Amino acid sequence: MTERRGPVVRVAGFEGPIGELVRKAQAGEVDLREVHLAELVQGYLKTLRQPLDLEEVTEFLWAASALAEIKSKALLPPTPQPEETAAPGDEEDLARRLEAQLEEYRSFREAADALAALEAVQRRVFTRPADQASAGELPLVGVTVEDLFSAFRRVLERSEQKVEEIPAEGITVADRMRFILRALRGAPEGLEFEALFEPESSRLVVIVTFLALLELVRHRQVRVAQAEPCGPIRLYAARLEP
Amino acid sequence: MSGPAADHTLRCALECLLLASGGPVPVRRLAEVLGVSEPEAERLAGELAQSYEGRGLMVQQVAGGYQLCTRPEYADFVTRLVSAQAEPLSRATLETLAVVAYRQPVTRAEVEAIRGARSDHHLRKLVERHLVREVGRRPGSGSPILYGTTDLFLRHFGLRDLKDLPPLGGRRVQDALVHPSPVPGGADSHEGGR
Repeated sequence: MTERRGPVVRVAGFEGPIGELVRKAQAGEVDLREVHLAELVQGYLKTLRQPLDLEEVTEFLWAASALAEIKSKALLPPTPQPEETAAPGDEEDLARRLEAQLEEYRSFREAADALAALEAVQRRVFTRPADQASAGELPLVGVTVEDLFSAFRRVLERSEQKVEEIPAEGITVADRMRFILRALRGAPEGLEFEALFEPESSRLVVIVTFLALLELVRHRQVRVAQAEPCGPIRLYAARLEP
Repeated sequence: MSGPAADHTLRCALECLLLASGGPVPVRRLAEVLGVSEPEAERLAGELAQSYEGRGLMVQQVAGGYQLCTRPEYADFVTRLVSAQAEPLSRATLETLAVVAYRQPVTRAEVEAIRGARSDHHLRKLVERHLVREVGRRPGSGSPILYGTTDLFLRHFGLRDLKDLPPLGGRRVQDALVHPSPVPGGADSHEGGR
């Protein structure tokens, strides 16, 4: 057998190994504008049998993409090309471009190594933690966890007054997080804490909603503020900024 | 005020400022508070740093300012008392961060083109940890989000500023760096000393 030229394809205007078609197209012996590539691919797909000969399929893919590139160039109006890069053939050019890209990626990998080394040192450096008062951004403004909890208890008591069967609803914290964020997004001026809970909410919904709120505060997606002690607690969608 | 006595007072005051603030204090703020010029503040900070030689603490130049912090040599003792810093970043996340740091402002697609791999997860992680932030949008189709690094990024790696980044692939880093364009809203949200 001579060198492999890929699987044999049959299409109007050409029959033979697909590698040969690529060669002829490159040499200008075949005008690809006359060759129906979709038909060529479909014809090949019909001949495929399991198990796949991966090497052959790869060769086909390579050749078919080369054909698609040549054909698209033939179809498009020619663009003025810089003289020096046009000469030695596209394959070399492609190789050079790939090499340059790899080189660039390698330099970023090295930079990442350097950053890792810096990080390793800086992780061993400690500053004095800022005092509560001077800490830049507190997600809880004037609200203690107790305030939040007593508000929670009030809601619970309210919902307890109704005797209700707890339906086996598939309510999740993630659901309620989305619900809270949606509610807050619709209320730029903030929402009252208790507005999150409908009077007829089941105990389970109340608990899961509260957990969802704590989770959102932890992620700093929601800000909680209380203007005065024992005053109403308001929730705001946190603006995401560092 | 001038002379060695005044210098001594200013150095001591500077030392107090760094302790009181905890994190890095920008040179501009130090100069304002001490009532001296910025080069003067730099000189005082340099002298203070020297006077800490051989001690457990050190004065570190980081994120456009100075901070008083522990020396890395003693980290093993410190971590017995206080919990360690946040988890180190993974390889892939560091790589993503490196591309953002050197190419900022940069879009996700540009990061992925260089890495040859999906990077949205890593970018999200970096934004979550406040090492990277959205700095604007590129005009044009789809107006993709542009990413840049934060002050916390400089602190996390102990860098004075972006020019302090390790050189990229032999070329001088200054040549490789595209300076981030100013963004409405201001970049200095991490100022200490307030």
